[in-house]
Amino acid sequence: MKFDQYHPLINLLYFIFIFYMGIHFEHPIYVAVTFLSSFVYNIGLRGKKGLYINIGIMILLSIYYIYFVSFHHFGITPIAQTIVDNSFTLESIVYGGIKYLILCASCMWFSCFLYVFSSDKVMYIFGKVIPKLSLFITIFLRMFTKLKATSKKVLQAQEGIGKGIKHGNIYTRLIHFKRMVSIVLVWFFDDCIQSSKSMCSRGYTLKNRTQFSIYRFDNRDRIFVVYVTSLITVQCIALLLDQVSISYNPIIIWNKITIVSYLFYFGYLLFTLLPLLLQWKNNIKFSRLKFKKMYI
Amino acid sequence: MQKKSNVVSVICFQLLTLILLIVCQSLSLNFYVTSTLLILYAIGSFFISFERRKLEAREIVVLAVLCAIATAGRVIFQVIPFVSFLVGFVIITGVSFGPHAGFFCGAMSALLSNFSCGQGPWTPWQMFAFGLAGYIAGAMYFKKKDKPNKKVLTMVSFIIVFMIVGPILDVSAMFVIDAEMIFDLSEYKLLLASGLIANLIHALSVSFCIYFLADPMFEKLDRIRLKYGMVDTHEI
Repeated sequence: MKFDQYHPLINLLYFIFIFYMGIHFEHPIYVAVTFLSSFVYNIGLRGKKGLYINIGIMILLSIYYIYFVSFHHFGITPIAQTIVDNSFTLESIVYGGIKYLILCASCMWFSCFLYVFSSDKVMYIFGKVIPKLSLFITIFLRMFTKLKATSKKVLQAQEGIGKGIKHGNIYTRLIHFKRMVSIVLVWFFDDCIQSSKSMCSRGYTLKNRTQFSIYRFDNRDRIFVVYVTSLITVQCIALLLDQVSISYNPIIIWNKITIVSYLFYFGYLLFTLLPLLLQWKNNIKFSRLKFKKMYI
Repeated sequence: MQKKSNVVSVICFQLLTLILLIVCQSLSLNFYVTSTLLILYAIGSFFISFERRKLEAREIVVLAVLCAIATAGRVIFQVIPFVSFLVGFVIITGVSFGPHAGFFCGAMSALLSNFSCGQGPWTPWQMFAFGLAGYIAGAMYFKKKDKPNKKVLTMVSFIIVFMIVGPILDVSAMFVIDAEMIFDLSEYKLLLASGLIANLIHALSVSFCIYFLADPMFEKLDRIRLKYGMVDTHEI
């Protein structure tokens, strides 16, 4: 029971807030929480593959960190000198690290988002607003893969009779290419219009066409909405009390950490880990049910 | 009656554009946000008119096929810098199915090909520029009895890409380079000069596509019209 079993609107709402908070909150504790939870959640969703994706993202983006530190020299506490008499400063190194973590986290969140938000969910959300356009996009996505398959077939057949694009000099290659394109187009057009006729007979363009979907808004979704909105309210209070903002440029300045601010950090941790916790809870519940069924 | 409602809708469109500009001015939004809002407004109003039109399934399918071909024309040549056949196929669509179909094909194939070429702040600008190329070609040649001469169409498409599509895309390049996202005329001139070679290669590739593929494409589209009874003067 993963997060992608919930209603698509809820997925969208949750991820919008996650992206907004993850990108705009530059407080180091918040950034650390975002990074850790995105790391764990991607593994929780994808298993071992998620771990590889995370490590790949971190290695790739470390190039950005090196670039940032070696070309930004703001701040007032110098640490070392470069060859051209610029100074590495504490502030720029810390800020580069924060930016690096934010970028990594948002990439990992995006990887989770792609796992949860498949194309049929996109069709479900936007299909009611733009019915013809969504039908068009659905057809397009099918056509594009079909075009690839058709052109592969034609290419193989043409190579078999010695008229592929790798035969002859440049001029004959061009002629072969043009020949191939024309064959693909004729075959493809006729094929597609045939399938459009069968679409017509199933009533695709009738006036009150409804879209079939398996999603429904049940109690589980309502409970999730209550949780999420209450946690977002806590973060709004934190935003109003200036607990999430921090200044890096001349000196690092942040507000005092009090007991209440730990509450905000804990709330943010809960918010980012909420889908994973629900996933674990459901897993435990289902394994217990299985256990009961086995021994009764 | 039809003409009267057209005039009213055009006036409403202009008034709404003016209101949008005034609102952006009063909120003191920067240039990029304002211009992108304007472009999204133009494209959105076009798509609303697409929703309202009565379309048959095969017309949607033909449009989808043309979009798929145009997208393939960009994705295949992704490896070679600045070369893409997308606008060529968009112009062919515009000439044979009318300006609206041209705009639609250009905008949608720009959006959908960017899923493999990379989305970014340039996406609405590309949608608008490629769509405009299709619209202009359609407005020039659709509803004429003879199909346009191959050489003339090649010249026209070269001019469209080099003079209209290229400069529009250069504006979006400015927002990618400049973090402050302010429109600066002297900077724009510099960008135009540095983007000259890119625009030239793009225009040459498009006119190459038109020169070699326009006639066979027209032939095939005409054949499909005859075979499946899609009326000549009927706009998609």
